[in-house]
Amino acid sequence: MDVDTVRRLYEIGLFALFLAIALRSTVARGLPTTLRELAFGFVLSQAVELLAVQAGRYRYPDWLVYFPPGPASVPLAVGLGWAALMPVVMRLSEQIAGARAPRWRLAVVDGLLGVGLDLVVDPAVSGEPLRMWLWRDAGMTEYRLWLLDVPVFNFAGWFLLVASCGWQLRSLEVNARGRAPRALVYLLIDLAVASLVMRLPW
Amino acid sequence: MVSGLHRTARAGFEAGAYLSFWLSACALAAIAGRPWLGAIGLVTVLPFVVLALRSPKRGH
Repeated sequence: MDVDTVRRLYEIGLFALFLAIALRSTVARGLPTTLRELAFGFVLSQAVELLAVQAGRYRYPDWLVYFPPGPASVPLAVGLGWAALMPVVMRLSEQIAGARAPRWRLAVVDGLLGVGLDLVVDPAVSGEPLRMWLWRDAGMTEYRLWLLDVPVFNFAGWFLLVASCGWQLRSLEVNARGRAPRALVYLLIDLAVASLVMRLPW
Repeated sequence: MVSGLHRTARAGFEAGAYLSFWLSACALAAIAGRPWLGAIGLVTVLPFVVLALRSPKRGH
């Protein structure tokens, strides 16, 4: 199987996984919770990814669908993949630590689950030969710290993003008052923290 | 109130989805010529799945 076919199958597979998890979550937890979790996960991850791409931290060459459209943007499937991952790691964390465990503890387990998975995914698909995303290219930020041929920055970012997203989604779930403005505040805080983390000398 | 059976099935679905992320990465690592990368998940992915499936059903 050639590399282009593998890349297309991976992208389509992310769409399929998103649909399967959305359907399952709707059946198990209801439509409002599912919409909230998936929408917040998608908007947060897509915004942070876009920020990183625009900052020259990495880039996504040759995907089928970008959102927002444009080759210097982020593939739609990436945001949907992140959104689909969130309910999965959150339910696993609640199963492992107990759903009534402190929110910070659940968030830490969320983050560890995310990084545990990415330690396999990122080294496999980034860089050559699959080139789903690139850490090194002309005009991009040079990294100093690497693990498995992936910048350490990426794993730290995964932990922070998954943990904070998990904490914030549970906070929105528990307290229904002012959900929309709180979600917006969380999003702005996340983007500010992400922007700060990207400026650190990784 | 969610039944114990329902909770078990739901955790099983999430564990399966999490495993599918890993297994697809294993396949991609093999295609990329670095099949050993998938083995990292034996340490970083599999223990979480085992923990989730073996944990008592609680607190939902």
